Amino acid sequence: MGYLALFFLLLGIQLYFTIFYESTVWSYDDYAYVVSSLDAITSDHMYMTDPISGNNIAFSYKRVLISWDIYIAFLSKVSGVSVTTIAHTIIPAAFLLIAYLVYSYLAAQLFEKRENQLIFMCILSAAFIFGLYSPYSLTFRLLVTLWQGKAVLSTVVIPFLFGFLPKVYTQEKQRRVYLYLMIISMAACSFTMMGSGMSIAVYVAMVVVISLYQRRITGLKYCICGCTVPAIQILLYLILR
Amino acid sequence: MNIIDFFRNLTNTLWGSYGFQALFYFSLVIILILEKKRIRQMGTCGYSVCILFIIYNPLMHLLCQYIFGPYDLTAYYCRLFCLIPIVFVIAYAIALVLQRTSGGKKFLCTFLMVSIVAASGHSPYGEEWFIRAANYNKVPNDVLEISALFPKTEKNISIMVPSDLTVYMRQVDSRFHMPYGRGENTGISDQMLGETQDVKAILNYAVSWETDYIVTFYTEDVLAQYKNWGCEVVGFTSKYVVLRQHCPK
Repeated sequence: MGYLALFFLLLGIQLYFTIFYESTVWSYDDYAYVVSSLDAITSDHMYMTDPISGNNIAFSYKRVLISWDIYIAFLSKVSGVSVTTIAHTIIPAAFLLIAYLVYSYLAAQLFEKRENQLIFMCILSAAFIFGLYSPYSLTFRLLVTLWQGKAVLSTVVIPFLFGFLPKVYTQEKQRRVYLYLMIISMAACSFTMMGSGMSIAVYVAMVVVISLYQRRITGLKYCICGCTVPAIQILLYLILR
Repeated sequence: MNIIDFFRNLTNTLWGSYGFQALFYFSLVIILILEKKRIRQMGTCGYSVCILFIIYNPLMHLLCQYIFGPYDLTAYYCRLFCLIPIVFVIAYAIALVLQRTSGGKKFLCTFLMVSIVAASGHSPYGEEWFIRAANYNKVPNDVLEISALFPKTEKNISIMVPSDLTVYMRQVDSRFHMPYGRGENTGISDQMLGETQDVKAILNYAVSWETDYIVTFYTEDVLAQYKNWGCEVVGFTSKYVVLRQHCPK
């Protein structure tokens, strides 16, 4: 109970600051992507408006391959809540909770005993809160800019793959896992263009690691399945640019 | 810049200091020593080493240059470090040490470790750029007030604003069309933040870019200068005045 209380205290602190505080340090991503979401609603076009001038432009070949900001636009349109509120308050709070669900899954992979899982979660929470060693740290992504696609990718999807892939690579092959991996890859690619390269790196690294562990090539078919969508996205990017 | 210099700059940019880096590598060693299940050792330490090898690899650098072009790749490369489960490795190592205790001592040690992490770490919550939000949009109230000054029937609003508002305007209202973005034409946009302004230069810029509205820092003196040039007041916010310029093209 004590560990659970400590963990919820630390999570509560993060949730509080996520909802009621803001960063005044803006990256180019926010300047362009949140504007893209609003322009999609207003102009009824995707990625065909210059984020500064508001004028029509030919579509952005880089942005057209991702869909995260259109998802934000969709949420705003169906809910009636402004794009900025969705992006800066609701999505960070929701995805902070989702991130910690993923981390609890990771804890369950690393420790059998519930008590040790909770200890891991407490230390992890503290490490996130006090781990701002640079603006490229996961702390910055999770606690400051979690509405950005690359932040969701690095704090939710990549940690999930980190816990999920060793498990599926070492178990008996199941057809439904191919579907899961394709869906996860599509999600990774939808957040940011870097998602394609980063997810390929995770799949390949895990194949190497698990193959070394089992002393035979393992998980290659899963790896190929998982890398298919990212590879297609990279190919489309190279064709379009 | 040769590759070694690039990787050295990259490492300094990412880590900031050697303390956290050292803690990460020390945690990998602890996991290798304390974790009995080889799959978990491989999953954390093996994976981390593999990713480090992928990142610090001249072939990867060449591939990134081919995909992203011959520009400074530091920003792209730093994102690759998200693949390394740095925080998870550190938390995992500490949890492995703590699981060797039991009962009340275990809880006290956990609390102590949390306190040590808090005392030795660095939080964004203490930074001066992390402030209490004025609203749930997480934009300055001035931007919402400026947007509200214009009737909904007005569709295209060409406007120029001081540099501290540039980022927010089109996030809030896509009717705004601006002649410059974040960090551009700061000679003009920075002036509009203060009391000392070259009003003639600002208005010339507005005319040349066909910008009807100007948002500027409000004082009576500044307003009088703009009014002398024929500008009309549209409205006020807590810090700014919104003007319509009528200068001939």
